[in-house]
Amino acid sequence: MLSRTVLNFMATPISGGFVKNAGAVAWSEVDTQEAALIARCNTGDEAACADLVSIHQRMVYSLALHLLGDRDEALDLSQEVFLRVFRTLSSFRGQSALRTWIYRIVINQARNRQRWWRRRHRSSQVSLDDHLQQFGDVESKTDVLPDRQLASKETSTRIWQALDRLPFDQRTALILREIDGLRYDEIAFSLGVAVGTVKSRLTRARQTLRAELLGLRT
Amino acid sequence: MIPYVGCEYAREHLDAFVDGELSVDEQVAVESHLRWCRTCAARVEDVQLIGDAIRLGSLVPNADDEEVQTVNHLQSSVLIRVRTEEELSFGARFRDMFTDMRLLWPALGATAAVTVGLALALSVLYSTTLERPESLATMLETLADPGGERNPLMPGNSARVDRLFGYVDSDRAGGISMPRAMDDGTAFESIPEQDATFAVAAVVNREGRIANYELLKSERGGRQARGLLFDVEMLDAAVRQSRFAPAQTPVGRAVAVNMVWLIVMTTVQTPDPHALPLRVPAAVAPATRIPPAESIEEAPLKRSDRLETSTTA
Repeated sequence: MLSRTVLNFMATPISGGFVKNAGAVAWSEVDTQEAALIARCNTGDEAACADLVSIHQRMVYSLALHLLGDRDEALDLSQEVFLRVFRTLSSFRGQSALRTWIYRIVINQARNRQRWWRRRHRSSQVSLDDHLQQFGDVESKTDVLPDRQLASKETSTRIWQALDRLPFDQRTALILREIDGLRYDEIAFSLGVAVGTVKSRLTRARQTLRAELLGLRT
Repeated sequence: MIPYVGCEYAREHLDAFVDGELSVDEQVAVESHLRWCRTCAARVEDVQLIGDAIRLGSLVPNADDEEVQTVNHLQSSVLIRVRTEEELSFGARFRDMFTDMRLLWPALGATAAVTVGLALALSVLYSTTLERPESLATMLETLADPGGERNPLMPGNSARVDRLFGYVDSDRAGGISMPRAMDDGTAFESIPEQDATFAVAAVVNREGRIANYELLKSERGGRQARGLLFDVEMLDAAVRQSRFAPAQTPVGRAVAVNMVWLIVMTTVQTPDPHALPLRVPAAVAPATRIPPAESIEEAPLKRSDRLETSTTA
């Protein structure tokens, strides 16, 4: 079932193990289900539209939140993304999974929005500490290995600060890889670039973050 | 057999190795390298640590968070906006127009009535903007433009006051000059050299061209020849070639003037010394006033190559 597959994906605690299994989703089955759902949406079936939103809403919101760093802004962007999806769904030809296609829309909308927004609302962005205070300790919702957890909290803060300073395309590529678990070809489609470009952007981003990590150790 | 790879190769593939994007052969080769290379292994650990740190600090809320409830409401708000957009779209409103067909015929009738009314209004507007030559507006415009082509003046006259409208043209203070021919009569060389008399009424406009002309009288060899096709064509050609310096008021304003020319071609033969003296009667210009001309002007337009003397009337 499409809904169950994707909802399970969203509900699964994020971990390195899950990321490696992300490519194992049975796309052929999903494609068939997606095609039927898209066909229903294109005929104006409101229930189908509701299904499509409910399947992808957390995924869209999550990516928007990570790219923009503001909940209200992410919520607003998510609405815009779904409106855009329904306006252009008739032009979707199955050139990718629907999820990847929606990712692409999210990234384009976020790229347009964050250019000016981040400069003006940087002070109201969510810091990791605030987030942890509001939603509890990270240990309760992760299954990171114990030996890594000891250094994770401070490391995570510093890494996210460095991540925030990365160029948009590098940051997006790394978020799509590490948080959303997309394969290189899916990242390439979402960003509208070649796979080789994705590799180089990931390498550059990780080099920058590794330098931050080395600075943290010294 | 496991291929040996060096650090340079391994470092190029470390990110893809961590991300599981290598082929099986590459994966095995890099793994074998990492067994003995502590530096590359440390790099791999760093990359994995970075990934863990990113995932750890991600802002994904728990399922029981209030934020999740807000996100779940995204569905309803999106659907409301989609529905509203659909309702406000042009296509939807156009379809709504035809949902109640009872209104179709009244709407079509009203549209037709508006169209006809609009067409009538436009036709009336169009017809009123056309200026008819016999209309009062045209007459007023003509009278308001003395010296124009449609209201030519009389050269050399002394009239300064319009009797109907009491109009006084200050330019007429010293009378209006005669239009002066720019050529020496070459335009009339095509006229056959026979005794002939032509009376022509014409208007010389502000550009010095003959605008309207009329052949009033034509005689050849002493007999009435008015209406001869040849004479008409000949005069037409001569008139078209004629150029004048336009008539001017004393202050130099060019005006159109009415002109009547009497063109007389007379052959004077050398008198026979043995014959009795012959009295050559002077050519008399038929200076009768012929409407619509208001004056008769005499143009010096006679040439005859056969005789040295010519008479100009």
